[in-house]
Amino acid sequence: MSAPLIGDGSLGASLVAAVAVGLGFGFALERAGLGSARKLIGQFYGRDLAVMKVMFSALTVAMLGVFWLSRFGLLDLRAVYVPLTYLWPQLFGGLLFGAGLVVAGLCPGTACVAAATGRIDGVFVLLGFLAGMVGAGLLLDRFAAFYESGAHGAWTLPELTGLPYGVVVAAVVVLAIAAFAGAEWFERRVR
Amino acid sequence: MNGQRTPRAYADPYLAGAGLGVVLLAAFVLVGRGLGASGAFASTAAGAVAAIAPERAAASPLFSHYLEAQGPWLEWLNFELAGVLLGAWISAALAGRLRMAVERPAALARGSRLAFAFGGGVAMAAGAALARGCTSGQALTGGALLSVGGWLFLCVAFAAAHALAPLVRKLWT
Amino acid sequence: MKRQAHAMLALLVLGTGTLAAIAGSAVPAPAADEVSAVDLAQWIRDRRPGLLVVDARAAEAFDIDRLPGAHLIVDIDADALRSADTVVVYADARDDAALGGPSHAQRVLRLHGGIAAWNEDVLFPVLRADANARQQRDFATRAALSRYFGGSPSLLDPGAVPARGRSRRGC
Repeated sequence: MSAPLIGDGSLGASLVAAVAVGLGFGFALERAGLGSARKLIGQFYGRDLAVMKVMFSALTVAMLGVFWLSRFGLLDLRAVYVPLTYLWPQLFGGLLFGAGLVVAGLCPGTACVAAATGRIDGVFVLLGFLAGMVGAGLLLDRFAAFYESGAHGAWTLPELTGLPYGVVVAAVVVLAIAAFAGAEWFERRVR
Repeated sequence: MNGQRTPRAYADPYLAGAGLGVVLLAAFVLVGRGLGASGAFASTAAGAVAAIAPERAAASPLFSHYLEAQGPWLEWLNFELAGVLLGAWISAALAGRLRMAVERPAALARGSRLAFAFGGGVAMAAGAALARGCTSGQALTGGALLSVGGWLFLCVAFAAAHALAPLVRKLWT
Repeated sequence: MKRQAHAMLALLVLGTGTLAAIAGSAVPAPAADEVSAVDLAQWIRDRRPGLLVVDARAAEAFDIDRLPGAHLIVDIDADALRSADTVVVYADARDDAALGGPSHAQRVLRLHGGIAAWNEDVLFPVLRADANARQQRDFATRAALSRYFGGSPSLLDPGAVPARGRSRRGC
């Protein structure tokens, strides 16, 4: 049977899967120490590049898994939700997010990990995040045009570049390995 | 809960990252979608505003999205986030890392740290609302699926954080 | 121990990544005994000699919609089969079209993706509005093929349609 295994009609099964997946997510993040703001912020001061290593490893492994499962007919890529592209909001939103991240020291996911393990700063990041979402939701109707600008739907790098999917996958792999090698060299030099 | 065992060292980032990648892949295989975090907060905000001022909620391009179909309280990401909290707690409990604390540099007062945490959270929410996701939803999930917007967000967010870091050094040293 | 784990992980990632570049497409390739809808369309348009297209579905489905020049499997006799060089069998999207009966000397191929692939890839191909020049040029040949068979190629504004994959989602 081809994946995705749980269809749109099975809300219960889907929500059970959500908890299970979340369990793995939270566990992995905490294992790596990303529930600690002080460890996380080390990324941006060149002390500890764990954030980049964890994220890029996860991205690469999942990306390869998706490619090969699809290639062998085990996963129907057309049924997998690809996050939508909105060029201008994502550009501007990325800037805002990055600024907030380096001030807070935690992103929403890692702030959950921090809060769950007793860190009060994590709780405050989440409170601020929720407050920000309320504000953003209430103010966005004034910027509706900007919010919907640069819409390209589900748009992948292979579609943008015209390169075969597998070639883009390989390019990301090379980029990841280079980034890891660079990180190891950099951390050894700093130490 | 605190101080009784020395906390264990963190796991290797590459192995933990690979494990996280397998979790993400499992999500794709099980339900055809990836991980996320900001959506749970957007959904909760939508539900809260809808309970108080339903017309304002319906008029919001952000909130209206979560008020359709199964509604804001049965949002998939809410359940995933519950799992995240539980999984993080289990991992920390096993490793002796459960600890009530305010993580901060010694030179920064607790109140200041908490204020900046809150403020940073507000800025991140604004960014995540515009970008339709955060580091988990856009950068990680979108990145793994080779989404153009996901990679754009990933690069811009990390560049912005790196660029701003020297200016906020006082917060961390 | 950790160095070994890292090395193994790096090798695995580099290996599968390299193979991915060689494989190219993320979509499963047609098997050796299959033919893609676009290839079959070109065979039909080029009037490939000895080509026999067989519809393995029920007669009702055949009456509603069928490939050009196709014959219902029940109407095929042994002579027609023997004199054909290439036999292409198709059914619905699931690739389980089968000829059955005695084995034949000539090539028997299944249509990869069934009649659904014919409709999607040949008759109604879609071009994204944000496609680049090269993608537009490549699409022109698909568009001509589509019009030849009475289909209609179309342009898609990706920003306007609902997301690929399941219904509304957020991150």
